Amino acid sequence: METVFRPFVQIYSGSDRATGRSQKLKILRKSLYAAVRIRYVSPPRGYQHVSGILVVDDDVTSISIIEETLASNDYRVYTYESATAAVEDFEPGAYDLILSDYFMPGMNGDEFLRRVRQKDGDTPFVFLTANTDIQLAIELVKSGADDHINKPIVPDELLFRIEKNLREKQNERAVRQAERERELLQMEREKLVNWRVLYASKDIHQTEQMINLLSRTINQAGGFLWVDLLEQQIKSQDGDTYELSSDLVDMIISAGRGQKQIFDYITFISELDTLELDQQPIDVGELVRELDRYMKEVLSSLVGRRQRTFHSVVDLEGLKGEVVVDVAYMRRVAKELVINAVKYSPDDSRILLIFEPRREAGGRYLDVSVTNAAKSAQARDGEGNRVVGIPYEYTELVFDLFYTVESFPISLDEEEWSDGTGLYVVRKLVRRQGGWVKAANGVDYTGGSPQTFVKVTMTLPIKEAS
Amino acid sequence: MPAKVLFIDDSVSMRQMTSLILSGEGYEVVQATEGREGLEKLTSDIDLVITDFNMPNMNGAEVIRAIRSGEVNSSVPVLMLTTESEEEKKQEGREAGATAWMTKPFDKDKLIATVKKITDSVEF
Repeated sequence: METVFRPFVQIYSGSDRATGRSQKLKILRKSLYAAVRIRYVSPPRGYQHVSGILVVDDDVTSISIIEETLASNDYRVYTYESATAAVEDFEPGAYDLILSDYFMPGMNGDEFLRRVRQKDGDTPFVFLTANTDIQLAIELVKSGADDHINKPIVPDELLFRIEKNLREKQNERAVRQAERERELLQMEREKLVNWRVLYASKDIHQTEQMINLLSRTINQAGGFLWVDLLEQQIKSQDGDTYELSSDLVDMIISAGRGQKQIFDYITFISELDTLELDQQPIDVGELVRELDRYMKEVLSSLVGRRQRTFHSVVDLEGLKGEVVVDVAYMRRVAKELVINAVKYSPDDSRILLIFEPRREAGGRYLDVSVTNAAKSAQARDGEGNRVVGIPYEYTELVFDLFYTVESFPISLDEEEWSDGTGLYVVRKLVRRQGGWVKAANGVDYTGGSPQTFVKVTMTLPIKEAS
Repeated sequence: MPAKVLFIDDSVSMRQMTSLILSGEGYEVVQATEGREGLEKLTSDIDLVITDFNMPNMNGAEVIRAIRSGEVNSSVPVLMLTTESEEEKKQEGREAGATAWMTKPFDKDKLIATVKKITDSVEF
């Protein structure tokens, strides 16, 4: 048993000879308790949860019996002789059960209960009342106590009632916990259903957007009205040669150029899997330096609202090896990732570039990640409700289908592969070179306020230098 | 006196070609590159306004609302141009007070027929 004593000084000045001695002893014992205040029994061997019981009673005899009974049954006991002191020291959740006398000098049991309940509504509170005070016991239970135990104390009854109260509270907590978990699960299920619907509809939506975009672009170039006009002018001509007005020729050329551009792009996208790449082995450090330099150059060249502060972290300590890539395409991919981060981040936010090696069972890899603060308010689910972020386990799935959450919200002149196709192109190009691109999002709590972020990581396999 | 058409579209190719077609049919065409310019060029002698929906600054529905709530020629017929998939934009245009809409891309004959139908049904 481990007991902590504090030094105490007790001066007895009573003069009643008849009762002096016992009185003195009693006061000395009281002071001992008062000074020590907390006396605890160390947990038994083979530790399991030891319930801590707070005992408050001005009657030291009761305290002794309770303490002895509880301590010998592996409870940790904290004793106070005054409710005032107990309240002063009271910390919510510090005890498993509170056992309190009702009639005490200074602060009565009902006031003690009220003060405890202000801080802690959960810990079982059991009163010790004289067995004649049935009405009082009922009142106390009504005002927030859990149970009452009759005085004089019978050790077996005390143990039985304490155990019963602890068990009831445990059951109550388990039920509450189960209820909470059920609610969470339900919420999660509903949310996931929403996400699934969103992703399914996104697939179709994305296709529609792409068609819409092509249609708009073709119309921007005047549609095919030039065919009608050309036919009209041709019809009015005779002979082997046609004479066309220069206005019409200019129109046809500009319309044709616009349409050529969009069809070239469609061709580029459709040929991504067979596009000729000039893949060469390059030292991984050299590639990192080049991409770091290039991405910083791109970020530095942005002006106005597109400007972002950026920071790059290069960690290639002791890393040897090479990657086999088409450096020119890697540069274009890196640019797309940077521009993407700019597009989807708030003005004046920071972009973080991280280059780091990673070792996995399958080999060594280079991770190039671009992290930006998210414009989270823009994301909406299929029903138009605002959603924050995409659940981690879904990011890859989502990324397979699309990346933009809004329909082509912004396009920047700097982006090469625009209108929501950029990351699709990037993913294909990186996959062609043996790597992959992953998107993830989350909440960063390291700053002043929680900040949602989006992180796109390109991973390339590293080979031993040849 | 030929009917006067105000054509608002941010695409230069579209404006040029439409003007060429309509002027070939005897219409006088006034061109505007965007909504604000269109509203400035809307005079009382304009018989028909053709406006694109997707334009920078002001979209077609906003242009129509501005015309309808303006003081000059506020009841002029307006033909709105949209692309096939923009069903909700047609609705927006209708609600704003469009007289008719036409889906892009359209051909010469359809443009002429639609414009004729509107201008013929209106008394000048």
